[in-house]
Amino acid sequence: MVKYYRNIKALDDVTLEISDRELFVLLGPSGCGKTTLLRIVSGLVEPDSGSVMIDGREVNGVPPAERNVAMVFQNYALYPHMTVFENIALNMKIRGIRKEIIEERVKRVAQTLQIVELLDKRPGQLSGGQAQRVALARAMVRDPKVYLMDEPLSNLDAKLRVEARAEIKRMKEMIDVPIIYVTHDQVETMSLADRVAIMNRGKVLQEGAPIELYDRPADVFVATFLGNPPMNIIPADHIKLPKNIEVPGPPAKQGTFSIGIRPSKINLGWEGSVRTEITVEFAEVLGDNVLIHGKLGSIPLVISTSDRGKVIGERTLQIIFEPESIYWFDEQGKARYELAKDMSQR
Amino acid sequence: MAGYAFARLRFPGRNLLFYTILSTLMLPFPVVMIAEYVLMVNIGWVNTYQGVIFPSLTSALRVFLMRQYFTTIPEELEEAAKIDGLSTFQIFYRIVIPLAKPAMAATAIFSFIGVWNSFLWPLLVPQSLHMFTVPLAINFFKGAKGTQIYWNQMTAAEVMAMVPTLIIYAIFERYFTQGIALTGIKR
Repeated sequence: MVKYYRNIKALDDVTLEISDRELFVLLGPSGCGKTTLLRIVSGLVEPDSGSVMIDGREVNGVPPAERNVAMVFQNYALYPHMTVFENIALNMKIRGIRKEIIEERVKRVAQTLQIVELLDKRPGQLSGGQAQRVALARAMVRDPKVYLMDEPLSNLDAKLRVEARAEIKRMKEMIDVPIIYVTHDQVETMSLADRVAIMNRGKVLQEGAPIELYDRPADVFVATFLGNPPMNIIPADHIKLPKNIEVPGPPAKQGTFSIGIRPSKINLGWEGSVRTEITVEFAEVLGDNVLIHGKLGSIPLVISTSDRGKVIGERTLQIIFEPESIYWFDEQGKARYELAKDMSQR
Repeated sequence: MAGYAFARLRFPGRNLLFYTILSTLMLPFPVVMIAEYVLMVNIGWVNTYQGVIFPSLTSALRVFLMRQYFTTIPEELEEAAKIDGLSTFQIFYRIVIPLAKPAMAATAIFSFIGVWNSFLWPLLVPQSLHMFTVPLAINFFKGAKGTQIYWNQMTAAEVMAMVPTLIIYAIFERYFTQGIALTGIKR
């Protein structure tokens, strides 16, 4: 589908298929179109071209309520003047469902999410984690065809976020419809997603299982977006590669290409296939791990190491890495090349 | 309702219309007074209650105040309501109106004070004594030709005239505090 805002292409020819029981993450920086896509599925926004199919039925032009989708908003969007019970029950009340049935269903969902004792409170009295569970309950009680979640964890503090992630995982086990989940957080993605689509500037760059994207990114954008700290990208003329190293495909012949290497794949020492020296700018001691921010010539480089003793206080470091852990990109970073033997292995 | 339309509904010429209404705020009342009076004469509303009441039933200031408040209500709430199956009108009276109580209370107090104390318009339109507003009545304490002013009685009457305003304020005041306590959304 395609969507324009004024003259800006917010969504550029996006096609995705999401199956039942799947938690599908739309990942990308802000303004990449992921929320627009979610809102198009919800019916709050109509696409300029293309169609939305839910359960085999085209729903273009169908109002949000009749699509039977449930949405969890970033700020939860609970109605502040209603109690938790009324918040969860509103949809059923509007549809004219009998009072006893409403009460029973709200109670059942409240039990599953352990919010029974909150039912008489108002949203203003809830903590962030409780509000999030109420928002999930409001979505679940409707038994929707698809769940839409718009950065549901970004308002929680770090500790609650881990708990809430588990909550969503547990919830996912209980339902048998797809969840479309928008986030810009790659940790959430790695932990929750069955499949993920990475988006930038309205385009889907790559989709697949998160680990697949991590191991075999299609381009520099995907490579640097998944993984923390992000992959180092070094233009090939900034580093001396040994003569006998095998360079894949076209980039070598053109002579201009970049290599990518994950911070954890760089080791300290003198004995390695690729060896170079970096100047240290500063180090972040994170407990077991130390992140060293350095420079290779003018190129910033991050190394993650557990060898605290060797690195603290050093001005320069000798680093080594192996050719197997190198990712090869073309000059613009738009494509990645693989060694012939890697391709045959996979 | 006009304020909500200007805040949220999309229709052609919305901004033009809004700024036109807003610009009337900049005209002082005496400028439009004559034109309004001529209108009242033409439709035969001079010396009638509707002639006194109608012109102040709505005002640009109130539309503006309400619009400003409505734009601060998070749009997600209305989107959530849309997904819950509420129509535009249901969203308005089930979600927006309950949340707008503080603004409505403020607007009500402003309007009441404005109307209660109005002097110039009621001086023009009604001509029978029984239709006069309180400020006009107070004006009588000046005596027939303005030669003599009964200060003691005039100030006493003014204090009496304040009482309804205080009562109205006491009624609506709790909505102000409620408005502050009612923020269910984190920003």
